[in-house]
Amino acid sequence: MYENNLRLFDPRKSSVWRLTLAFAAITAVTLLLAITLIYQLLLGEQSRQVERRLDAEKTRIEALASEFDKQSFFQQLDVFRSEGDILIFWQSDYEQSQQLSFLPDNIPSLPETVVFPVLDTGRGQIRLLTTGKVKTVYGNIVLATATEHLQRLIIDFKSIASWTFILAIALTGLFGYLFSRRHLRRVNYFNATAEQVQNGNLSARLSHKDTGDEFDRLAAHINTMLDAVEENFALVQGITDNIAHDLKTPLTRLKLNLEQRLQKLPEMGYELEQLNSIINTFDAMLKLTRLEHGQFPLQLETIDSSQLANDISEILQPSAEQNGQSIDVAISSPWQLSGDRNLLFQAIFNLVENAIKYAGKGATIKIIIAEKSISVVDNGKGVNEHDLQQLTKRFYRSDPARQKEGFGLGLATVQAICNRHSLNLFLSSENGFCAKITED
Amino acid sequence: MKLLLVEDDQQNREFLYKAFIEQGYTLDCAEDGQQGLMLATCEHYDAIILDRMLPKLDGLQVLLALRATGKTTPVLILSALDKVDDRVTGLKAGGDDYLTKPFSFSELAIRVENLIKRHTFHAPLSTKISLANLSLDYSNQRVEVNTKTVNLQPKEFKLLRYLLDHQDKLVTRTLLFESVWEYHFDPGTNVIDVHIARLRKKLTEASAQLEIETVRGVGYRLKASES
Repeated sequence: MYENNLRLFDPRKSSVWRLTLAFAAITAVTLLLAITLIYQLLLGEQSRQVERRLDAEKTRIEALASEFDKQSFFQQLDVFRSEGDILIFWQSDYEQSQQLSFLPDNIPSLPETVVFPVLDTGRGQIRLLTTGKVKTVYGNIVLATATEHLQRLIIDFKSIASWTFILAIALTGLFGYLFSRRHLRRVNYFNATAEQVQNGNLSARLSHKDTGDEFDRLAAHINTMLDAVEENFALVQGITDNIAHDLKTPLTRLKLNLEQRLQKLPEMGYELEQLNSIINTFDAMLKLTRLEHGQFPLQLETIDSSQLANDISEILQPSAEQNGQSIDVAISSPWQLSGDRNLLFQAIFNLVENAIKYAGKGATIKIIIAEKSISVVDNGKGVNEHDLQQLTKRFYRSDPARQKEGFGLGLATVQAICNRHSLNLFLSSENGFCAKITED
Repeated sequence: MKLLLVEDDQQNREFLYKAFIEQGYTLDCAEDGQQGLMLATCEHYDAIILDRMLPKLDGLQVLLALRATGKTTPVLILSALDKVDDRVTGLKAGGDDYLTKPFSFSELAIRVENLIKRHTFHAPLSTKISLANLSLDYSNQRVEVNTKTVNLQPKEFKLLRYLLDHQDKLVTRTLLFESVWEYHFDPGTNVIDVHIARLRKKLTEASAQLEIETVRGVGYRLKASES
């Protein structure tokens, strides 16, 4: 499951991607500030100049209106009109400017202004005018100045600024995505190697590129650590093998001697049974340790799980009947798998034997073979949630008094055998106990 | 029958020597690999019992060297390590059987006997084995007591046949399990006990005059009833 998570891991879930998003947000804010500032400094100032110019003109016209009579006032306006860059229009009963085809009604009073396009009939082109009106006793005077350059600049600026903004954010995002993918690939590689080590391949090492970056340093550290672990492990393994060897020679002497004396003293059978029990526990522990550390080479062959189930059912049926139980085999879809015949036999055997021991009198035990899975199910009293978590641990037994026969290694061994075969073991307890072995 | 025992532990060597002599074998002993290999190549033996870990020359090396000379003497490997790869490499190197320490003498004796039988195989004159008033014919899978057929399940038949093949000898549970169910596994005491109990019951019901004796801590022995 862990492996699947790794493979499906989305680069967008990496910490680098989150950093990228934060970085993109900061870039966006900074860019917005810079653009606003440049706008205000360059174009805003020009707009304000136009407004100041119109405002000054307004003051002048208001002064004229208060000093001169109507006729002189308009004569003066004509003079202004001919000498300045400000266009002046008015509309009155006896005189109207002919320069414009029309004047919109909604021109605001200065210092408010409005920009509108007009067709300059003289030059045959559309011009943009910034206009505002001045109210005088002789009627409304409209002041206008051509600002199409400025307007064009504002439009261009806005469009360039938007494109720059979009491009900057897109590039930040793209590079962030690529970086996080690259980053994640290396992290995944680290994880995959860690998983190999976890599965018993202690000689797995991380290769590095000698760029001296943080990953290379981390890889070098991990490799050094693994060297040490492997060395210690070999040492411990050597000790285990030596203990096994050194213990087994005297145990052999003891067993051979007891067996010989048994001919004359049949009551020695009890001692011999105790010795066998010690030897069996010892062997089971050694076997479990070797399985867990991947030091148990598998003799792979194609196994018919139905054959296993039928054999086990046949072997254990009499034991079950002694407990008033029955064992049924149900095969809905045959399952052939590649594995070690003796180990897989032991795994299923342990599960059924456990069911016989713990399901209680009168229970029905089923071995069910379905699509790529084999389950051992009973309708006994099951186990509680806490026990369920602990069952596959070494020496864990749900009966605290340890009255039942066994060493508490059964399910731990099943788990180890499953792990060694890359099979999954699921334990559950609903209306009894169910152990299910499945292939991915 | 002449055996060669190559074992470095003096006590075990002496014990096994006595025990095999008692069984009627002749025995040569070697305490290290070199000596063992020398004897194995120069002398003729019916079977060789070879320890896996030996001083001077490792058991596996002895075996490879022996097979390289063309000798086909059956070899049983004894090992203290109980690693599956040991078993596999041992058998691949030319070993014929494998036994893990600590072992029971009864089991070793039967395995050696089986090895010799297999090696010097001639077609048996009869497909029938009998003991007391029971006879078993493996050509037609039939068991009779006083010419009356006894109904046995296939596995019960195999169990009885193995016991009859080794009548009056102690047969361990592992041996029975291995020969009847063909898994290399120790199923524990109870499991085989109930099968034996069933077989015993069927034989008693058919009034067979034989007895499957349980020897605590070791296994079973089939013999004719004393009465």
